[in-house]
Amino acid sequence: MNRPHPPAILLLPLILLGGCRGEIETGDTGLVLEVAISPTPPAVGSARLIISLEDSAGGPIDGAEIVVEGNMSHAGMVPVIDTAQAEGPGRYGISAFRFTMAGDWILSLHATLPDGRWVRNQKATNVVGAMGGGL
Amino acid sequence: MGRRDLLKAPLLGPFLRWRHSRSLLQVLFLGVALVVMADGFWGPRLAPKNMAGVLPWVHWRGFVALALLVAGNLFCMACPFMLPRRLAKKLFPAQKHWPKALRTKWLALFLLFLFLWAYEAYDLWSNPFLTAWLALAYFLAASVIDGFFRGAAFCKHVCPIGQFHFVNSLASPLEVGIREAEVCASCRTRDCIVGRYEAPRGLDSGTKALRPHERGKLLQNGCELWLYQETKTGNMDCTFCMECIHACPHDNVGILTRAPAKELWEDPQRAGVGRFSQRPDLAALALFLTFAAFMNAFGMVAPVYAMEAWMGRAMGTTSGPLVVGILFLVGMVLLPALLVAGVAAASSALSGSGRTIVQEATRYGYALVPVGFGMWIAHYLYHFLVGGFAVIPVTQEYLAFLGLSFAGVPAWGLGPMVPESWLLPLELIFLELGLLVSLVVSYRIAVREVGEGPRAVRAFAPWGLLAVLLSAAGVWLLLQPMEMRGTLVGG
Repeated sequence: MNRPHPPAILLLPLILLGGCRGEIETGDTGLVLEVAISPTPPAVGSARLIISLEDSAGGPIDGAEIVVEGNMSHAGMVPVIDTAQAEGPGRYGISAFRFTMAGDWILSLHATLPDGRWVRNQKATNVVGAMGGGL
Repeated sequence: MGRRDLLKAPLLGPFLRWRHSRSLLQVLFLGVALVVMADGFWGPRLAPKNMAGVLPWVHWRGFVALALLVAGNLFCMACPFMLPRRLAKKLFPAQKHWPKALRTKWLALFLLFLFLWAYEAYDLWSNPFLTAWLALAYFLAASVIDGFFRGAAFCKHVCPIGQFHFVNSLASPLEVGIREAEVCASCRTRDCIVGRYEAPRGLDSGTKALRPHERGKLLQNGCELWLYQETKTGNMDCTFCMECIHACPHDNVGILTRAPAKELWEDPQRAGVGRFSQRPDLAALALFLTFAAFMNAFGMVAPVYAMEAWMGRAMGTTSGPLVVGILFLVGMVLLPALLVAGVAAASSALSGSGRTIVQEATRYGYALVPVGFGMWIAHYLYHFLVGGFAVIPVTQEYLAFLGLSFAGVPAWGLGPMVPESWLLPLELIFLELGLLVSLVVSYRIAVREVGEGPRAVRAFAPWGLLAVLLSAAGVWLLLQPMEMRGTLVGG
């Protein structure tokens, strides 16, 4: 009969530890990061992202670097990553964010302020439209 | 041409002949399963960033499809659920016989339906937490069931994933089988089925055979799925566990090449299985998996969402699981049953076989396995080829969390393994190859049942037509716009 494998058992804690990454932190709670998508619902292809960054009193925050990462809910699809451009006081935008397939998307926004503070937010959206040629 | 034996191949052969090769594979896969569960329970909720989102639904399914296509049931061989189950066998009595009423595939078929329904209804592909629970439930079920019952009752009668492997491996090019029939004919110990003990069985001296508890310590298991090598035929119920290979004192069992799918049209008395033509449960399982291949793929294309929304409105419900359950019940059970019944009745009437619908379907149902297998491959390979490299950045992030920075910054841009333009042609090739084999198998079964000539053509025609219709449905599916969407009935 086969015996247990002690080396493998010793590796267990190390293996399992990596799974404790947990949920992403949301950053500075005094910052409000929001995104709107035009058109809504977006279709396969390009859509405009309108992003706002404010403090908790509603004051606009300028000069932030904002990166948007779009992931499909199904694993295995390459994420779409783009950087927003400043468009006005507390306003940022991505003129052509590319949704590559219809289905459920999660947009993850990460804003970093010049003073080092940062904030994250997520928005789920459903992308409609056709992309033929493959299951 | 003689059959080639994988155990005699350079490098691979010595590894497979090594007594602990299976355990090593299982330990590796156990490690992967533990990573999947740990990340599923405590890792990021976003499936593309989580091992439980990537490894089971992109890689495992893709590798299963490839392994079955080019080799055989390798994933049962490396099944990680067997390690805790082996421990349970040591801790618990495992002396009960599996209930006679459950010694069929009906329970496994029902669980397979539940598995496929849960996958769609609860979006398991986008839910690492539920995926981890599913894996944990699997470990528990395998351990508890095989801790109480003799042999590999879980594998043979319960495991839905195993049934998928068993049925589709009927079309695989490798099987565990005997090298020389004469050696088995002269064998008196039959260690391949009863196991090898300290004391010999006793038959060689012409005395009454010793019972297992009279023979001292068990040195090597025999087949726990009750497949006696001398009369074992093909891959049904074979987990490639290699116990028989290690148990045989004559070194007469190998992993042999064969004509893929040939066993689908042959109907000998099979050890531990019986005749395919006498097993309505097996035929139902084969037919279910065939139609399930198309329904599972249907869940990934745009029209299904419109249909689910319409069904939700018509039923006055927003319950996704309920709507998916009814859709799958119709698409995987009721509609296939009607179609198969019609085809079986036509085949019986045209050929004048005089058989009932069930008798006819139990003989010809296996012919559809290849076209279903083709659809499974097309579907699973799509995900694998589109996202095969996605495991790299997820692993990089996983290792970075452990402080192992040598893996570098996660390269989230990685994913596709082939150009997008290759996908559809590849999918169509597998689907149509499956159709071609199904047509050959249907005709061979017809010849076996009614002999050569016009009667065989008439018996074959309805089954051939059904295979063509299924393939056409597959082509339609592949040409549909794809949507990776959860079940939003109200949407």
